[in-house]
Amino acid sequence: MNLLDDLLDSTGRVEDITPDSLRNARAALDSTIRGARTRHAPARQSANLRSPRPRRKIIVAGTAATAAAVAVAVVPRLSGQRPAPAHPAPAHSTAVTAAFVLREAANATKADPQQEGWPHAAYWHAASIEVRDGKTYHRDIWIAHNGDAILEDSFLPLPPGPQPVQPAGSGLGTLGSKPGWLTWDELYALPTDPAKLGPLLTRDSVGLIDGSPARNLWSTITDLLVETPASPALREALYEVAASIPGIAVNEDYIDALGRTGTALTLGGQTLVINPASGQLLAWIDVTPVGVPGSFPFTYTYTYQGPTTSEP
Amino acid sequence: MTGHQPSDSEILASLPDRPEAMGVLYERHAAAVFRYLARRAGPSTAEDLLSEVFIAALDGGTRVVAHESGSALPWLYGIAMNVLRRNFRQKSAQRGAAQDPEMDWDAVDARLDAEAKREQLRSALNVLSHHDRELLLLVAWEGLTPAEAAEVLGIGKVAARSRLHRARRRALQALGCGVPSRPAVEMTAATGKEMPA
Repeated sequence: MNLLDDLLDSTGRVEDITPDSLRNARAALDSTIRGARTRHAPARQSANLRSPRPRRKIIVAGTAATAAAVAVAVVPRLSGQRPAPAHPAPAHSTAVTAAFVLREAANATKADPQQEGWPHAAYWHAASIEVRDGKTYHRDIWIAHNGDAILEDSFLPLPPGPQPVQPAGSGLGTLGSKPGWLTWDELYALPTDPAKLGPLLTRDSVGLIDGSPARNLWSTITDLLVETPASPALREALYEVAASIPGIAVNEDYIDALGRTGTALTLGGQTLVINPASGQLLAWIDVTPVGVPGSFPFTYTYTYQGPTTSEP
Repeated sequence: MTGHQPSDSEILASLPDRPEAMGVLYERHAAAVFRYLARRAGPSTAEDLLSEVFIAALDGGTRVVAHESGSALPWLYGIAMNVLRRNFRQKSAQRGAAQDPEMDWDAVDARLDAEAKREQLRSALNVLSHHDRELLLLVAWEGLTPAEAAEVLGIGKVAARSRLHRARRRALQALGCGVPSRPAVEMTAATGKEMPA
């Protein structure tokens, strides 16, 4: 045993918990468990007061005509009784700056061996769960090179099984000057130098749909980061550009629906939860304010994202 | 006759509908979670925080998949780490002084009898980033495999092995153990190139 192991061994020995302390902590837990059985009722009640808001990503995509078609295809009968998400926008602290977290994530992403991306994969598959009113809904989306997508979402009132989302899925981000979604080729053509990418995203984030240039840029970057086959090099650049956006709130202690700890970054209605140590995207939260047409809040917690060759 | 004992995986899967199943996880893992907390914050704080860890797990663990080893402990350690950080941050704010965000060094020092050893341990661990230090301690103190520790920290298994190797090397060098006479080099897992340590 070397000196390091000797020191670690010595300091690793601690007394076991006493039976009294064990019982006391158990009593506190049991009290919370009893409360957990009943706490969903108020959420249902308040959810009934919410305005119906179809999925934001679907509406924002492309032209108005396209958006309408997609909305009909994916959300055929929206009611006003959608339950509220179980994981609302996280509380924020200012212990670290968003720029620090985003640059850490950029550095971690740099180490990913797939720097060239996945240009030859057949589909990009993103699997997530959404917890609403104590129930877990599964969502899978497969996005093809041209932006077409197949969606299977147990929350939406869809027929059973995968459903085509025409003409574009909710995966690939939009740039303001270009109607519709980006194809994979267009995504891979984006510059991976932050100095070039930043002005491009700012220039094309037109329309101020999210209320300010900063929010619009953050929303554009979010669209390009979530559920897309963006290469690690592009993701690194996107994190770097995002680090320049002022006003992003940080919560280092966000625990997602899978129990993973991540850092939540919020600006406007958009929150990304990431693991800065790996650059991995853990969750995407959208609480776009009521009144934005075609939008309802959601929290997608990602269980898998990656290329696949098989159809759903 | 003994009834069926549900696995951690089965319990985790049932939690959304049966929050009381957290009690079974508590009976199984509370002692280990307590030791995790006590090693980093001392026994008194560990007693205070133990229930918080399982309550936070109840809130956050609506649907959790156990580590492939089948144990819920890596997940619980991840939550315990988060609870500890929050506690240390609150203490730091109350005292108006900066504190190590993941370690109460007084509690660690109390387990070493000689002043010299305390300085040695600090010199070994202070050369590591917080993430690498936690990785090292999860393996050394909690007895996790590198793959299980990777889950706690949310990093890949390969990265965990590489970083653990690097962390041990740096800590040993800080202690003056196994330091080569020429400038130290290490192999990066990703590129295979040698670079200064």
